[in-house]
Amino acid sequence: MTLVFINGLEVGLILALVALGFSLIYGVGRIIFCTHGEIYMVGAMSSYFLTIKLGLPFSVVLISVALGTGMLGFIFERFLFRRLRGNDFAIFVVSLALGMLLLTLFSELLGTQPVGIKEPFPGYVTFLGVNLSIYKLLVGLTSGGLILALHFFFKQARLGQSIRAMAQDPEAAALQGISMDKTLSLTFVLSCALAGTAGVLVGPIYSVSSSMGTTALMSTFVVVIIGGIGSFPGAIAGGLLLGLLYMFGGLVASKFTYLISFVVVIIFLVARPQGFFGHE
Amino acid sequence: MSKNRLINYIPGLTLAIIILTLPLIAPHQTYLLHVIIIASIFCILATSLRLVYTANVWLVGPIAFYALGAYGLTLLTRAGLPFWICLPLIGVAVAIIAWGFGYVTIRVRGLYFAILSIAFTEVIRLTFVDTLGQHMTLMVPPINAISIPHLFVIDFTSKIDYYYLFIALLAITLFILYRVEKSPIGANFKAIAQSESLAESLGINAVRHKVLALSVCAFFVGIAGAFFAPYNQTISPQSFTVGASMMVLILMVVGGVGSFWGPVIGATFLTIVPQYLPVNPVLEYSIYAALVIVILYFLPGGLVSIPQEIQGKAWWQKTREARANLLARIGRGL
Repeated sequence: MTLVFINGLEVGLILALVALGFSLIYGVGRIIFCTHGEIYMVGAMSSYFLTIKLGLPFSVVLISVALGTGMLGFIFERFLFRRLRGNDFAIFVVSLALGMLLLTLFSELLGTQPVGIKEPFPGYVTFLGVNLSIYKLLVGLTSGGLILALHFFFKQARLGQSIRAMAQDPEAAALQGISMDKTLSLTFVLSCALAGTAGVLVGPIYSVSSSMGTTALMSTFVVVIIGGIGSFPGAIAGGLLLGLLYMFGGLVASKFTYLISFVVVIIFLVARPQGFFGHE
Repeated sequence: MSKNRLINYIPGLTLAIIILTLPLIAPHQTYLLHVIIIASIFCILATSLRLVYTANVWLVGPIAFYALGAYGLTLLTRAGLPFWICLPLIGVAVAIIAWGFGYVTIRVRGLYFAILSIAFTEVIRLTFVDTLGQHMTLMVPPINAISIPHLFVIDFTSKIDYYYLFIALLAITLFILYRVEKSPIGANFKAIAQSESLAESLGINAVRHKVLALSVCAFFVGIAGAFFAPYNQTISPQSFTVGASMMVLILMVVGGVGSFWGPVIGATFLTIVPQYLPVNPVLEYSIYAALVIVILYFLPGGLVSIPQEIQGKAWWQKTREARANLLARIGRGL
């Protein structure tokens, strides 16, 4: 039971990392970035490519994938979404199409079969009476640390504050001399790098495949609806809740976990459409 | 006005004659017939989807309803019911499911609804996967033969029978959807899309109209799914993914959302042209995706707006305007 709980937290933290980026982009640009799940997939699949095919060490892979996906985010914002700003429907369809593009390209390049990545740090520790691999512990610590770092970035750093200002009131923020374009670019870079990092982290724990992006996007939707879209604590709470739900739901009725999560979404939309922490 | 001149009907009539006589001209081109059947299914899906978009409901693809239609029909006919009794049942059942889904979720606007519809599609697919198995393909019983004794028998064993069946289905669907769009209800949809609060202030019940649009769409899509299943002979959950749903959305956007004929043109173009291009079928999807991005960038009106874009305005609009201007000047005594 403890193991299930820890696994749930683990999945929850990863989900929270992905959902944070998604929520951030929505908060700043009012953009539903449907490519986000595929960015996570790109992170995982390219980490597979770099570790297995090229044999690079894990830390190098982590940093290069984070930089690469961040770059991808910058390119998308700068050359696609900036010109379409204001046209919600076009942005939405373009982000869906981009996801499809990445999905087909990666399944063409690396195949559609799920593949496994060896854990980079073998060994186990006993923790609260359960055997836990060192790598899992490290993933938990890393994702938790990243979330904390982000929290302080938004509270303390000037750039983080400017992102928050832009999310609160774009016009007032622009009057204070904050550039919408730069802030949105930064947000995209940050969010995509987060999703890529989450993909790298998750690779050695579960098998990776080119279809994982779609599933991740669904989970992200559920998380942001539960937690409230555009809310920082909401994404974390929603992620953890959904992670636990998946794990314990898998214990009880493994066939219907998706159905359960959908029912939860419906309940939230009817009872509290703004989520835990959101506000209308 | 030149609205009722015979000359305006000539292109449409020619096309109709070509489509209707195609199996007689080329009876052995079964692949061509197959491609046209698939194109007509996508036409039905994209046009039904457009009806939902005229009411400003962001449904991401109607594949969930399609899957419900196909699976519902398969399960019912396997249970022994004849096809032609199942068909109306399926249409109504899918419309009712859409009504229920819409009634709960339609109050959330725009993007939230889009998210929900994606989730709905996935949940429907996963439910079939979980109950029937990932790689489980179901055999579908053939359509019962229509026969009038001593006159004719259509037993749906050849592609040509199916070809006429789907062309007839497409024609009926397009006709009804066109009438719906031009009806007062269709006008209400457009009013809601322009300004929901203004429409409500005029006494239009926005929620009811949106749910209605969703149900009508689901009805036709469900029927199309019910016809597709026996045509394809087997169905499996892999054909009802979110990707397929987005595909329908892409067909609609590429053709042009603003016009009734846009989705028809988009679906026909994107189904038929890639069949005769030498590309890898996997890369085909990335070409679609790239195409939709290019279209949204440079041709927001879709393929259907190409003539206007080339000539500034279409020639018939220009002449009509010129005449109106002339009449106006005469009216002012110039």
